[in-house]
Amino acid sequence: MLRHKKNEIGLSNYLLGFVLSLFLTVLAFGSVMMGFLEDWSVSAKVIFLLGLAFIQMVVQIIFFLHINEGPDARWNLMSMWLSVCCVFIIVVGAWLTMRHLNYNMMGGSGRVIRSDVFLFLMPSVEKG
Amino acid sequence: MNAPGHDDSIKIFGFWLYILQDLFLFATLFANIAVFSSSYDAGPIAKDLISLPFVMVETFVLLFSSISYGFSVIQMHRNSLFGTRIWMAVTFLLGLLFILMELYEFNHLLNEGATPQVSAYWSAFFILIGTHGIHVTSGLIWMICMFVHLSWRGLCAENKMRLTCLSLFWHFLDIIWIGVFTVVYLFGAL
Repeated sequence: MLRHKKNEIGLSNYLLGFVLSLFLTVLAFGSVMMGFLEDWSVSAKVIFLLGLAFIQMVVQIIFFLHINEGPDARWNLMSMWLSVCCVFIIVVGAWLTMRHLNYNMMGGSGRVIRSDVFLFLMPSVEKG
Repeated sequence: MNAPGHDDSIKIFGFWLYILQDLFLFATLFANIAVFSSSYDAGPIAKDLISLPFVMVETFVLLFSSISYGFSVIQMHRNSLFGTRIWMAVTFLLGLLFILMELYEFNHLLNEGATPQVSAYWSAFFILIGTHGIHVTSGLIWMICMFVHLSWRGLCAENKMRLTCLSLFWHFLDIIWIGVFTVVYLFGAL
């Protein structure tokens, strides 16, 4: 009986995670496709969309992965935190380092300088 | 998890470590596409070729396959072999549809001249999305293997452990796809 009750909680967990993911996906695609973000600055758009993606990842980790159950739950979580830190260093470190790679180059050095192309790596170009 | 033995718990932890190192692979590929996000050279520009409604349908297909695998795991905990199989079959079909849609999109891009050798952006694009696609394909192959395992031994403790590992893998791929559609498609279409 107890086991049965636990499973029911599992089902509602999955459904809650699913509804939240659906909502966040529609919000992310909808805001770009309907042009809600037209007037926003580039960095505001990036932060908004990355925020939505981050929330949805956390939602799916909590409601779908169930890594905080079982006898080795602590190990699962600790290894996850370590990896998250390393991944953060890899992605943000690469982005920050490479951001000014072409700063002193003449011309686009392979990059297209077009005002309607999204250039979130080139703040110097954005400012004109 | 329905009180797995400690051995199974350790095996699941081991598989979790594999998933985390897979995350490192994807992190480098994400860093790659972020760095080359505007390196189009003379090639076509993502904004002109990306169809957001198509990608949104793709995203929903993968999300639905994720939840249907969740239902399969719930049926497994209820010891219902039939339910486990039905929901896994649904997951398999949705995953297959996702891969076919991705191949269709690749074909479309290649016909439009957006080939990997044209610019650094398209190299980064194809390597990231291709790696994700290969992972989804191997998940599908794993599911075929699980159908065979289930028909041999039913829901024994070992098969339950395997199904739990596969559920981690499948949900992980959906989580990676959130990053892909945000960083590649939504940023590309801005």
